[in-house]
Amino acid sequence: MQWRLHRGIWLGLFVCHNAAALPTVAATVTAAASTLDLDGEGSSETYIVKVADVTFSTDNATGCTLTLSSGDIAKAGGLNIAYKVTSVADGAAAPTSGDFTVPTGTDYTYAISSATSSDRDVYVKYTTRSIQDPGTYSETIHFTVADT
Amino acid sequence: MRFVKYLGVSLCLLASSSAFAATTDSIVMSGTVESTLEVVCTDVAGATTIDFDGGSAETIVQVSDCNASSNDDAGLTLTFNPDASFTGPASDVFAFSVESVTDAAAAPIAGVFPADDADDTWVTSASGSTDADVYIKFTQDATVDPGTYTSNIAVTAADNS
Repeated sequence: MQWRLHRGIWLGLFVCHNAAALPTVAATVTAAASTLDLDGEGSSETYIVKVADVTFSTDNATGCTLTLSSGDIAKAGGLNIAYKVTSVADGAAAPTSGDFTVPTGTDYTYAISSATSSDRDVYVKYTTRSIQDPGTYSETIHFTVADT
Repeated sequence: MRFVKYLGVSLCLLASSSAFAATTDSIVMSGTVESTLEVVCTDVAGATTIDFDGGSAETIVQVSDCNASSNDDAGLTLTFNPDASFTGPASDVFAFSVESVTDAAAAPIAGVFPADDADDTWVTSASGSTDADVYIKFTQDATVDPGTYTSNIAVTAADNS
């Protein structure tokens, strides 16, 4: 009976050990993300907007990498509005235009190199057109985290 | 004993909830572009000096200049909806029809006008601005009752998508 008890506990600890190694990511969308200024009514501009707060963590000794997708803000029947993405430390000043170094459509990555947690502010940059088909444009940004 | 047997595994499943924490997440961002659709029509001078009793001929007269614009990629449609006829102080009326043409183009010939009292439309197929000249066609009556005859053409604009 004692052997059976130990077997159950050790089996549980083995499973727990493997499960705890998974990194995690959680993104919270900002209010501004759902009210993007898209112009298209006679004027155009370049915008830099904070769209999410993201927290990611790992217990992997060599850290993990956060990956963010980028692409187009789009609707059926309208021209796409391309955007770039970057991140800054939580609470830091907004990035400038030159900080968006990853091309549209290419994944942006940010890595940490130890077993820890990181909070980042996620920004997008896009340029509107002076004439844009009316309607609602949207886009999903995907967050992925993987141990390194 | 069965409780003891599975205690370890149960505790583990409880404690390892982080195993179900996500390695992926997503957010949706969005924005709206409002339609800029508008139309402005201006009566031309001839619209208020129409010669109704100069004879009995079929007459074609420009009555308005219209400008419309929209950011709709599919363009816009102007609809000209005329009253049934010009009406005056007595029972005499002048039925008329409406036809629109490209800004500054030659006046339309009689054969291209739709039926009296029928709507006329002006359609574009891309975003931007458009100008149209609006003409009417009616038949004069040399013996019509004296007085002022008036009518309206309602103009509406709509995006094509």
